[in-house]
Amino acid sequence: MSFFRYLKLMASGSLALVSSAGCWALVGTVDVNGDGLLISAAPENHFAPVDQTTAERPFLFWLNADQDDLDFYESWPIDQPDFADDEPGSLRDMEDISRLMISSSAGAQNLAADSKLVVRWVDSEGSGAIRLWQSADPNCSRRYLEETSAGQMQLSAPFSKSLGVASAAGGAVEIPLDLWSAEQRQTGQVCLLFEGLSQGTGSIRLALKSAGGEATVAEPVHLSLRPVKSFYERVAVAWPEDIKAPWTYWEQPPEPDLQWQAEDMGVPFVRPWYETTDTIVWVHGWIPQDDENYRRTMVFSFETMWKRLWHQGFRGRVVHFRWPTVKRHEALGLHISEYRAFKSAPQLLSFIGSLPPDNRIHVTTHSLGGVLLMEALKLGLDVNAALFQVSAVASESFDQSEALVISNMANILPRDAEHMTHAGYLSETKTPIYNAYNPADFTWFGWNAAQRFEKRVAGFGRRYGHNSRAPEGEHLQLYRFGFKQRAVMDPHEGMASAVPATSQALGGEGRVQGVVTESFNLHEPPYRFETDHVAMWRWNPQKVLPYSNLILDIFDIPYNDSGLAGHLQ
Amino acid sequence: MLPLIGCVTTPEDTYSSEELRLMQQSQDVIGLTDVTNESLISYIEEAIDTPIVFHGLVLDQSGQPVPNHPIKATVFDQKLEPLVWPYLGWTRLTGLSTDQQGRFVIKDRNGARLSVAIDDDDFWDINDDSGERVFFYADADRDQNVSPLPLTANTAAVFVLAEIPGEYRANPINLGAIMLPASETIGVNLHRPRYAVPLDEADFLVEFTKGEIQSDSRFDWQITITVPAGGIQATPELYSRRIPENGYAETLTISAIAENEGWSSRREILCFLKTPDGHYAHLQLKIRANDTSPFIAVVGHTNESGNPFLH
Repeated sequence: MSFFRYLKLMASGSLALVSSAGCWALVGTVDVNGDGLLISAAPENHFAPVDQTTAERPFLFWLNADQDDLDFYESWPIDQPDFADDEPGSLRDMEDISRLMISSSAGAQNLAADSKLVVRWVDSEGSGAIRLWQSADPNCSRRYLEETSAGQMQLSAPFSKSLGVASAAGGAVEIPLDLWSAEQRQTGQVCLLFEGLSQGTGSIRLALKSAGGEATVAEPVHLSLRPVKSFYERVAVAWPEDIKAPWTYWEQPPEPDLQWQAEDMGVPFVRPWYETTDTIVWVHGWIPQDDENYRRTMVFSFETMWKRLWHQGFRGRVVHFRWPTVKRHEALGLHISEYRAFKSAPQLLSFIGSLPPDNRIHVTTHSLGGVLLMEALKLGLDVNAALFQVSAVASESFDQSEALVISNMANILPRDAEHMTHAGYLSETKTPIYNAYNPADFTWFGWNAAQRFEKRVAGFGRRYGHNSRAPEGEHLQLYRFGFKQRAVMDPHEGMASAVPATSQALGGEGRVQGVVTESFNLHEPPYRFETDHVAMWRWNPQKVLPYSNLILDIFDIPYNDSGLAGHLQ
Repeated sequence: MLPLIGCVTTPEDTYSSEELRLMQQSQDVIGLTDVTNESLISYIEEAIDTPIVFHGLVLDQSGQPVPNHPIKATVFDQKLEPLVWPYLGWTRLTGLSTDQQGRFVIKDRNGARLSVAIDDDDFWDINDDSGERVFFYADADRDQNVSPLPLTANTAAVFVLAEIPGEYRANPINLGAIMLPASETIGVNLHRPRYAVPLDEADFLVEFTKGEIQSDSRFDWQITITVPAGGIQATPELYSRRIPENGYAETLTISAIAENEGWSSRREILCFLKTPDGHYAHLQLKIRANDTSPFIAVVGHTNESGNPFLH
């Protein structure tokens, strides 16, 4: 006998079900507290909190508006956003999908095979819409995000087939419960995945429908769907057009007048209700600056990292700090970018100084951004922690140990501070420094080659050199067609353009100590980044979630599991 | 491009300061004595200058050579600066594998010792259950070799590759961060991530105590791990394949004194665990005793068949 025959109206105004086991209701659960678990009721054997949404504290999620339709990386330009088609696009697309667990308030209940689950979207602001799929995992775990095999199962029929789109305009989605096996239905729990199609705040209303009619049987699940760029903050430092490369000046180059500014990119940051006082400032590496390529790089790299940190439970603020790199085709622009990194560092201090003093600030950087962060630390940046990710900055700047010196690089120029060498440049800081390095990273071949063969070459007819007969303090000189143009007095110009490093890059060197607190080898398990300089965002999330945990761990920020079941066992 | 490659030095996969730090911390736990005298320095410098020649042969269980099999080898070839335990640094050799006859050779390297392992996700060396074999080349250490050094092809070290039995396989543990309320004892269950569990359902208990915060933001803190009806022991090794069946204590305590020069709110504990159910695990316990959100993160492996092998 179906329990729907015992459907009756409850005094509270909602409807509940009565079966032979007693009165019970359906409960819709999303991971509103971000701990990776879906908890619909307080468990007896685990102190995990219940995931309870309210209109004031909805589950916030982003629109699936990028284009993850490749086996590897992302498509650009976005001419077919992921929300425009019915199937999840790829393993990478899994990080743009979230879970909705529907369960019985009274534990195991036999959900009738001839009934349907009705999922309705009710707008409160805007016109939200979600697309639904059946979860391949009956336990509603995050395995699709954690394990490649589980992600592939989700991408396979029948789980890849959309169950429909729920929106106020388009109506409800009706899902036959016979999609699930009798065994699964007997647990009284079914699991769905969903993506956001359009912006809006509202609620999911769940109902069960049988031959006898439809009944609302769950409290609303409150959701807010927003563009992903509204979740994180952006600031940018622009380079003045009238300031040229330093080697073009006959006199000492002028100091650029730089200012950081908010960068909203058409989607302003909106502070989420759950925001903690932890703030991660992310300084990018060597990236292109034209609008098209900058937007593409933002989506591929930083935005992806933001999503991965979010999935691992980070609920503080992340700020993307843009600085004026120069990246042309091939490797042109490396040294001028290094120069600009030095000059942009005061703006990083200025921006961090503008943050609320009670916030716990963490700064991280990738690759060439290491130069900027190193300079900021030299200028007195005092934050909770600084993480250098595979950073293209000389390891000898952090540790003058002779063990780090590369023998065939050491005698190109004198290795002392007076000659603007990198050795010991950052000799003290209050900020704990962490180094995520990968000795197998292919980038170090190019970086070392640039140190040895490209530095000192400064455009047509110009080169830097060392003249030991010049007056003290003017040994480093800029020449034009063999004739002295001027002395180099600015260490930033000297280190960026004229003086090769005599050690490996920090991002390739695990032995560095000095001011470095700890180093972490990304070539080793569980990271195994092989030779990839950007594996942390280029690779699919199923392979690199432990790296997101490493970032949070370094910053003393609690994080979710990254490979266990992700649910109560 | 080829001439350029010859001119450019690229990094080697050497030991990291993180690995050393973990080992040094473990040393504190098990109470090894610091050795910093001149004879030790002399020994290390001579030892790492010893030429290494190694011939290996990988066979399957039927005695047939296994071609193109990856080899993991580490040469202990550096003196640590500063000279602290474990004194020797190392370099991992990459890209090494057997030839069509199942053979491989390591030469043109100097070092005190060499470790070699042939295992992968599905197969291991049937002749060695520790996961890797260590060969001592330094004159002063040669008596530690259990067999003559394989210096020629005729005396090659033979590795026999066999499929790993199912009961030896371990399951990963990755609980994420579990908050540590000060002055409370929490329970941790190796199968329930992110939060504490009732004490009677815990595999181990954690008690975290914290002193007053001083003017330099430091504070005394202490962690006590207790495994009722089971046991815990710290280990300097990151991971090994076989877990010891003896030598466990019920509790392990780690302290950080604010006045100590090396004070930190962060510590790692590498340990073996024997649960009350008789299951074995090896764990890395990450203690983050920060003032804002102290937590313990747990990663590792466990074998739930009661077998002490963890693969």
